[in-house]
Amino acid sequence: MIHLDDQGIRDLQLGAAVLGGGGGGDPYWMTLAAREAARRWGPVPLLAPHTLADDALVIPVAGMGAPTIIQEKLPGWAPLVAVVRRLEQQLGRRADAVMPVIAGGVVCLTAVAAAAAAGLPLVDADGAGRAVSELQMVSLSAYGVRGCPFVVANERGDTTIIEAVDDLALERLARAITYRFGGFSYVAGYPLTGRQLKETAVLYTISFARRLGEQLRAAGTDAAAVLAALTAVTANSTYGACHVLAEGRVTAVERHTDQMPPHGSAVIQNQYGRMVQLHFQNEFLVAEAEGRTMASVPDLITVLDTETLQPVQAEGIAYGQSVLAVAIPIPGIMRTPEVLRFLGPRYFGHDIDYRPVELLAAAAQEG
Amino acid sequence: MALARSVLGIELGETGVRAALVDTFGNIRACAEAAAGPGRADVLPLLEPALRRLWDEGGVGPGHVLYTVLVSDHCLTQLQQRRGLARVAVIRLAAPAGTAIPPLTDWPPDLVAALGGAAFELTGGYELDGTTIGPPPDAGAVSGLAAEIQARGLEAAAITGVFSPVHPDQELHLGTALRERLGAAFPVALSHRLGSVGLLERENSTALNAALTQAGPAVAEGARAALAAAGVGGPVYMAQNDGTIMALDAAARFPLLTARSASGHGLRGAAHLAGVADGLVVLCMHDRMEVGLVHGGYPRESQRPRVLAGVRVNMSEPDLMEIPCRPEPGAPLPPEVLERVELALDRVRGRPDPMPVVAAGPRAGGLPERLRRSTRIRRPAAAAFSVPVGAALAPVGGRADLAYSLGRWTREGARADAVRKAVDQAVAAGAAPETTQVVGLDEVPLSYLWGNTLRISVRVVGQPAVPGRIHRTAT
Repeated sequence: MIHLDDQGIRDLQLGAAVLGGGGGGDPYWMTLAAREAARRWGPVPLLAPHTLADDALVIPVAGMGAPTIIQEKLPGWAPLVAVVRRLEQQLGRRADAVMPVIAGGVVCLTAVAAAAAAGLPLVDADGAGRAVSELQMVSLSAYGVRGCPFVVANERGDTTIIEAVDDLALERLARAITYRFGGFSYVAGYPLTGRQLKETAVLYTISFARRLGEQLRAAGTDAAAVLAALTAVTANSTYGACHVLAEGRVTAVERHTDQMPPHGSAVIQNQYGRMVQLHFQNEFLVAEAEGRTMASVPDLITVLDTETLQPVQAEGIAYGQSVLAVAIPIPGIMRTPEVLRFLGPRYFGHDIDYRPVELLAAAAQEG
Repeated sequence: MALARSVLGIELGETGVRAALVDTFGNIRACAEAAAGPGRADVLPLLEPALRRLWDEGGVGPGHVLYTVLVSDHCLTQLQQRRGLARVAVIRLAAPAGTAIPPLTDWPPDLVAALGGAAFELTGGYELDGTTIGPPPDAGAVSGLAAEIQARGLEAAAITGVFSPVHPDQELHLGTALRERLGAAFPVALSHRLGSVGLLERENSTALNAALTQAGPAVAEGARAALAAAGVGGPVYMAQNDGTIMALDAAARFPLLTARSASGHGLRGAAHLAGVADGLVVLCMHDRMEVGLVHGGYPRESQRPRVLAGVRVNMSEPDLMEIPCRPEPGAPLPPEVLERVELALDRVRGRPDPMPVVAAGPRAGGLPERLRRSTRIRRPAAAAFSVPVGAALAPVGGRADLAYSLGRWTREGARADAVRKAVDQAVAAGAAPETTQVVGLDEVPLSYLWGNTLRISVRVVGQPAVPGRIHRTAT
């Protein structure tokens, strides 16, 4: 069995940022917490989903709220443990494992810290295989696992249980409570059995993120080695080989900060003058060139700074940056009509149908 | 001919002393330097010969100096070399928050050792809206803390509370209570004076500032004595990292705010020497190139945390792209460095419109007259003196970077409060109150909180409160 030790958690930090696809927040602080947890309580066992008993209880955890708040009110142990224990109490049984609600960004490391602090293993799976902006945008919800009962907790020791009529209502209530709880909260919900997990979760995403981080770190700051590592790791995974969207410089950025969440677009131009436009809203959602769609949600669009080879957040993408943009095919369980209903391009206001990135790439090659 | 009284800018750097005399209209009266020999640790003895050359060159004397501004990297060097640092009680008011990331996390182990590795996590801190997270320590807890500080031989305290930039009173109370028990002279650094929102980085800044408890005042005293020995009277200011200045007495208490000040003042000085208010500047130093932007005469600030002596800090500093390289004096820069300079210029410019590019610093001669994609590079006379010139021109600065919960504040009330705090800081740093003006005010709603919460940052500048000062607009 894989254990996430200090180096493993650092690799996961980088991989989770790549799976953030421009969103999901900067995992730096939560990674420090996860590393501290592994130092105190030992490396975190990473359970392969197929080893879970069908009747095992798994509790997904996450953090939600404003990243600025958690950078000031740094995480404490109490709410990380409290969300798990309170949901166990509500369900009347002990959990067998924890899993991140989503594998992209801060949430991934939040789950590692919570698993260590609660003394539970982490399941190698999540509800999206990437970052998403709202609680109901997960495979679990799409395939019938209910978000509630849902626990929200903060550092002061406040906890609440939400019983909402559906997962959209849950999202609205949880966010309102998070505001009242100080702007950032720890949450646990979508409790599920081992069997439900195997049927509805995106599997092997945590070990994928860790391996991605490990190989990217090994590739250093050599752009060709980084692309080779990205290609090799994605090709040998449940995702699929990544496709290069653009390698060049950011020549225009447009942001609409008056809208929440902030959205906008960035143009990347390569050395031959070819332009690719990325549209974002928290995460990068759609890539297009010459009026043709190159990739779209739920496939993962991720951007690396070619100077530092670190993932670029959509809110931080800036004019003049040298970048490499790639699309990583999302696992098939995230490409069904059930998921596309809330995570397809139309949901975000783009008037196009979702087409898998590998088909778009093949069509583009045929001209 | 009688000369107008002028401002003396002095750069005390690792390679020697550079001095510039700038009159209150911004004209350069004289520049001179005294270079350090190899392996010289203390450049202060070079001040006197540098000034002698300055007087000779400009046909001026100490009597022409209205006030002096010093740029010193001594404290930065002490931190980088882990020398002369105080043993610090790093105290956090946050529990039950923050326990998953203890103080001094992600620090280089040798720097932790140099500071004594003493961290104290106390209950306290505030939510953004003013609700307390944990109860602040009672008298018994404070006495216990004071006893432990004494028992462990700690020489200074650094206190950081959650959301103290908005709610500083717990930090103030604990600071006062510790001084009541440890003596009024016991050095205490409070985080709300040293950094902005972002607890870990602000706490790091505060701990580093406390570690400079001896080094900071030593720089101030050494400089004061050296200036007096050279016959230079008048008030003395220290250059701040953000491109403004602060009175020497204040700087002795906030040495971290002046530890890395050369770049900001070099940017300002280069733009002034080239006669541009808006432009890109390439500072060509001995071991690196720094590319930054000057807007309206002020260096543009970085929004990201930066690393100092191996530690992440969030004090106000110019937005710089650094390119490490060790150019030979007088030799042209290699093509790969020029390529990176060009990329950095594009990054820093942030938009496609052309802007003037100025080269300055001791290795400015290594840049060609033109880069491939950019416009001509301006290389002003006295380019090597951009740092002391920039310091001599700089206004006194104060700032506030705060978050406001709009449930408790009106937008206008929040803005007025932030401006008042920044003005208070500028005056405490030595600005004449009637000359203070707001030069930057940014309001950003916090994401995912429906615009109920506002982050406001304000920059205020003023002219030094110096008798005989001549008013001029800030350059």
